[in-house]
Amino acid sequence: MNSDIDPIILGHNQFIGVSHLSQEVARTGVERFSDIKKAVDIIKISSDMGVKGMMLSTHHRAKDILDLVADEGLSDKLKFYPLIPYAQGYVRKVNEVGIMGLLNEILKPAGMSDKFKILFKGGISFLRKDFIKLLETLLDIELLTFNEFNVKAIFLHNVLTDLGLALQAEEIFGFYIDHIKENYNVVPAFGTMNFAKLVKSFDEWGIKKPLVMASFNKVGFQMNPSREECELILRDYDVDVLAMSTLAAGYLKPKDGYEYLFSLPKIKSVVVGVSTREHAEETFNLLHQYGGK
Amino acid sequence: MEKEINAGIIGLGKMGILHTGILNSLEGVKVTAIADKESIIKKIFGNVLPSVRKYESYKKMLDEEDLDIVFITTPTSLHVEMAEECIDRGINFFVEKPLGTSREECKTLIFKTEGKSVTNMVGYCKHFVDTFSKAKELIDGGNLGKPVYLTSYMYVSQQFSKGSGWRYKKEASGGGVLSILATHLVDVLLWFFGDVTSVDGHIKPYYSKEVEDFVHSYLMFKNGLEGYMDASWSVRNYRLPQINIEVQFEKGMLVVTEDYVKYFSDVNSKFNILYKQDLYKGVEVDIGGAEYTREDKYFVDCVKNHKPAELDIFYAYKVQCVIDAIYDSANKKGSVEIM
Repeated sequence: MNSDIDPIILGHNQFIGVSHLSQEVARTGVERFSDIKKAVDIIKISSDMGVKGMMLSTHHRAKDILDLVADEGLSDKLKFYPLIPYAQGYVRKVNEVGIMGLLNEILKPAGMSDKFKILFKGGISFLRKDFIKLLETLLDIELLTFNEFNVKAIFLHNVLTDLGLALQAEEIFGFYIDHIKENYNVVPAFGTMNFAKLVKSFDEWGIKKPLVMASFNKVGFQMNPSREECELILRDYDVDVLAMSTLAAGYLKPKDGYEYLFSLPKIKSVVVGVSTREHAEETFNLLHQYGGK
Repeated sequence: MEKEINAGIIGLGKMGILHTGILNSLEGVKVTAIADKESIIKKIFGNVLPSVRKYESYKKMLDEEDLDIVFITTPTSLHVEMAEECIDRGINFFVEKPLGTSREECKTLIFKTEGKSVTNMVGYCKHFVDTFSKAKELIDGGNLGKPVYLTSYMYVSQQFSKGSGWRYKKEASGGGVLSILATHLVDVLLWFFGDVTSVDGHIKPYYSKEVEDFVHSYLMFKNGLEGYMDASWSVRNYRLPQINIEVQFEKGMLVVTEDYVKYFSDVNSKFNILYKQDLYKGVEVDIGGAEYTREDKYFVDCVKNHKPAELDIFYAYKVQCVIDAIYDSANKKGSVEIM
């Protein structure tokens, strides 16, 4: 398993209506990319500009995007970084049908797929009794979409990482790491809003040199408990970082954002979202200049 | 060393799990027990939190554990009964919003706290969102003068078919989008502008059969402000719930959402905008929003220092009165005064 990840990864938030700057921006994004071909155009432009990695959550549009990416002949040029699960989808489902309803709905495809029938004799009632088996199945279902694609690392969504961290669920992290390594032979990785606490906990639990996706930006946005503490941990611990929110969700000017980012050690990669050709050119040219290859 | 606060959680749904995570991370707090009637929850938390004792009966948990605080995060119709059990045993409690399914129910609970020193709080978490607290500071600061006219909404894309679960059964939830979601908007408006004196409400079910999916109400405040609120969970392209409040003042205007606060003052004829990035402060642990961490810390701090929480059951009762009045008004098709 090669743990080198691509230095620039195209993010997916703009395609699925996520903006940490504002919901107004997010809604405009949904309108712009409601024609999925426009999303694939952006992926193509980015690929032409030397971007070789793409992050994609398991949002229901992910499959459509991947199908079009394959049709356009882009799948060989790109490595994928799934972000699982699509947490907001789960939250909405819990609001709609409750936690038990959510489990039943997620497990539906498992009940129907022959593959899972073979893997889990005894079916859903068995899964309900064994929490770890349940988690394995959830992960495998989430990753079905990516079966035919070149996956480099799999990121656990920050909502789940941070919940596991808050509960100090060492065993669950161990399970996730083993399952991803053994079954997918790729790098298990973690999104978080709590970089400092996560890296310290991993160190205590003996999890060596984790790959962590966390916010790093000049204004300390989404850097908990503080920018200063995150910088200290980055300096003192052995960790690989995929930086997100590098412009504090569009709040900072790219030049200011990247100047700060590339002054930090151990930033292996950066995930950025672009919405137009002009935006892509500005972003990637600057990133190439600052060190992203 | 200061005594550790022992916490118990009743109801391990979405909010119960969230609060368990936060409390487990706060300095000086220890989650010692959880109660949920679903046995799968016991199973899951058996793996994740092996040292926490699990109960299927919350009363048994309250009787057997030495708890300083209890978080009640169950369907709304169970809140009051569970809070009463806490009061009987002298245990401080936090209840998720809304407090109850009707003002009558909430009133009984308030009477029950008379003469008891039990710290209590209701989960109106928007008070801990940076942009809203900044807006409150600007409104109270007085530079904008008296508030005159209000337009406001709260939307999310959630319900486009008949829902299942307690949220869509009036008996369990107290109502639909107004009771479950727009209670946040009513809360923020009361917090900003004080008491409401009358409402003229309209509700519309469409996807849901028992509860409303849309609500609209004209509101008149004691301080002279008037205007409307509109809310729905069946509006497209709102991935996350969003509040938007715009107020015209005597000497300016102000708009606030979760993302920014924007204001204009006639004195200097200038628009000012503060984004959440400008106001951001880190927290010990962020699981799905810093406001929940601040909310829990505030409650723990009140309990430790034996001081009452501002967002107590009496405040929540006032929110409930406005919600009930909107339902009453919609049913009788005319405006309703709030005493």
